[in-house]
Amino acid sequence: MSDATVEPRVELPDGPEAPGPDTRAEEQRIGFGQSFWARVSDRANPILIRELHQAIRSKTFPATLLLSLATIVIIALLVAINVGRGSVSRFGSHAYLLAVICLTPLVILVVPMTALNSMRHEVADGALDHLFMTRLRPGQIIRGKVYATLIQFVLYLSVFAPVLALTYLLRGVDVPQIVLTLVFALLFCVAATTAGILLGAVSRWKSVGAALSGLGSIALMLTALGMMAGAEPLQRTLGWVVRGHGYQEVTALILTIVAGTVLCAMTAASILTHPYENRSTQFRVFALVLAPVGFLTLALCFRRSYLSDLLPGYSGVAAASLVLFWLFAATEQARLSPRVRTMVPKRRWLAIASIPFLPGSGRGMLFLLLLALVYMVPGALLPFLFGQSPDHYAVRASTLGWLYIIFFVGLMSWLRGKVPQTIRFNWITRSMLVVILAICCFVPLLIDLLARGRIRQWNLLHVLNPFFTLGDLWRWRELMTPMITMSVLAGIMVVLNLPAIRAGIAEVLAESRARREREA
Amino acid sequence: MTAPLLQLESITRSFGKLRAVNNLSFEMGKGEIFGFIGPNGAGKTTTMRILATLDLPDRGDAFVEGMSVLAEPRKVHNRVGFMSDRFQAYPNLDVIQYLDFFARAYGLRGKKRIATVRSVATFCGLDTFADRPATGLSKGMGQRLHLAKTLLHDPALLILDEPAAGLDPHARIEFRELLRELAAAGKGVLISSHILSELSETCDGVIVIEKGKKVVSGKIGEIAEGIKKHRHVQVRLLGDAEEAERWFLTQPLVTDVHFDGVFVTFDFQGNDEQMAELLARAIAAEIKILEFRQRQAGLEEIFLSTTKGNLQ
Repeated sequence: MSDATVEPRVELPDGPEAPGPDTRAEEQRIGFGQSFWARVSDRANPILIRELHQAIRSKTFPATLLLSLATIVIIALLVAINVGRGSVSRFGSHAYLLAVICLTPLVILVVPMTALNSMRHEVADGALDHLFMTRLRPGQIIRGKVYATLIQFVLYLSVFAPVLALTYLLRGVDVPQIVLTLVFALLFCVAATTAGILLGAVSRWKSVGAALSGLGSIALMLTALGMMAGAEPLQRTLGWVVRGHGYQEVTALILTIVAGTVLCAMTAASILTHPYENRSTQFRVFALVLAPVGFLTLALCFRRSYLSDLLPGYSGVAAASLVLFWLFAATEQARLSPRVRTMVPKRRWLAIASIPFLPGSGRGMLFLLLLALVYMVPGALLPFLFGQSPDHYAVRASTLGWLYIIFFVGLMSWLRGKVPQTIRFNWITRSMLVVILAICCFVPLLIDLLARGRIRQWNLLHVLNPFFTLGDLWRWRELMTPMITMSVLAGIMVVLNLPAIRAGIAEVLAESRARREREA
Repeated sequence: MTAPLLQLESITRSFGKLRAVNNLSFEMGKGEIFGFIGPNGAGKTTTMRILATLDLPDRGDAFVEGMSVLAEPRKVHNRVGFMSDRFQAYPNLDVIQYLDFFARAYGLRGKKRIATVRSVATFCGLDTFADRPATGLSKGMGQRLHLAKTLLHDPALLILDEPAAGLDPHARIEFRELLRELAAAGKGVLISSHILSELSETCDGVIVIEKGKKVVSGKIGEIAEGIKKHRHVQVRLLGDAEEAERWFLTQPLVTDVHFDGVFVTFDFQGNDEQMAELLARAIAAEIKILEFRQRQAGLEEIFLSTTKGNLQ
């Protein structure tokens, strides 16, 4: 309740009293049972409670539940009819496969589509504004929807549980395989739901939202169909994993799904948040956390002899796969928004530590340089810790990847400083990267064609073409020339961005000082 | 010194080249109902969204009970109830479930939550509709539900964007009564509406904006006095109106005399004393006067005389 001072309430001659903070009389009329359940449910996310209320009253949820029950009965009948006509375990494995095929569209399509539609309606009806006036934050809204997914998953699973138990009793499958299947089903369900929520949130962008949302729905549908069609080989693979093979791949897959899910949720939350709010820090922290998590996972899951390649390789893969992070960070508006300014820490040392994580193109460039160090240095040095010398070629290739990132993102950051500081120009600058990359890739190819009549092999003209350079030189292991050239070019970009970086640092320190002075 | 309930300090908000709100400042206190009026696209909704922390100003700040919408949005949320012009209830929820959801979202817990939902539903006249689907309510009841949702956390300031739009006269009168009760309970109400007659009966004061800029603000009576260069007088007579009309035409400071079938009306450019003298002279001239009154400028007149109706 509001802690505002409220004037004494006025008794009105007609009708009930205007609501105020004092509801004691009404509270006394509430029975023990109702009060107990109210206290219990207080701990739950409000979105979860609402989604459950809606699901119970909707037509879709009971219909799919009934359909699932009917499917289970059919599977059980099929098993019953066929018992005695061959090997029992064969029926067990077939029934298991059939149950998995029936469960797949529910967890990969129905549940995520429900979340997608729920989020889309919330965006389209303007309900989000009402939610943002409450204590709910975008992250809580998304979490509430994911929790509702988990409840639905458990309900569907409880429907399928008798068949899964039956298949085990028929000795068609063993318990670890069932458990692993369910773990993956849960993971895929949560990942697909988070992707669905993201697609629902995307409908906030009126121009492309509907198209993206539609494409996403089709992708979910195709994924579900693909998984249904590939259920048998997938189950064989899981059986292979259960027998102790490929746990590294499985761990990597699980971590990738988890990271993708977190990323989807963060992106959805960021889309729902006002552009002036801080939408950068969470992504920057995520990119930073990925470094130790990735290196640690590789170090723990793979044999030492692989680490000389894998650790520097991870650094290079991170540089390429997180390119959008670097690009978004370095092409934001240079200055802090009014809301973010109020979030700058008062303490000087905290303000200094927060500089690379606060929004702004200059600070984004600083963050990129910091991340380059965080990924490149462990990539090159960690193998020594495990008694391996790093593969020089892998180290060079990943370093070259980072140099490309620094060059292109630095170029975009520098260009961003030259155009008006509005949100629209953030997007224009980002889309310019595609144009610049196209020029860097195709112009040298054209020159080659015009001058020599054909494209024979890599030459210095192609140095700004990262695909050709890394692709062609991969075969020849000849990276020194592009390494030196790109080091110079990336260095130039860093120098060009130094004023922006300096301004970004100064702004945070000045704001921190101003806050200290205001409070003093 | 206690901070005013609402204080805007040079709020500016642009969308590209369009300056939706331009250096807007005003204040209002507790228990006051202020009308917020202006032509379409004047920046009313943008301002209200900034006050509700749903949008952010490019420059300036606003304070609710001294809390900045920029620096302390969460504290402002506790103090502000915003009723936007868009309302769509969630499907598959009844009225009480809908209110219960928002009560949870506002952080109300346990018995307090149940009691608040009940008391707000009763206040808004929704208790008899408790089990009805929230999406199946009439427009008037839907607005009541919207208001009930806005009142759940007992906000000190209510920001209502076109709350009476689409309501029939009966529902409008009921809604007006609810607002008066809330103001009597000490809540400040900032309300935008195109139904100016509605506002003039409900509001203590108005803020008129055009092209994002404040044109005029204050108590309705004071503004009306300020904008009128001359007084508009109506006289109801017993007997020959035409003779009286001719007499008034000969009087000093009187212009634009005409008879509309009931009243002889004219503009008077003098002060109160001179008007009293005019009345004394008319009685001395044996003009039989039943009624002699100065017509008050209404909100519509204020709006029309202060704005140009320019769209942005």
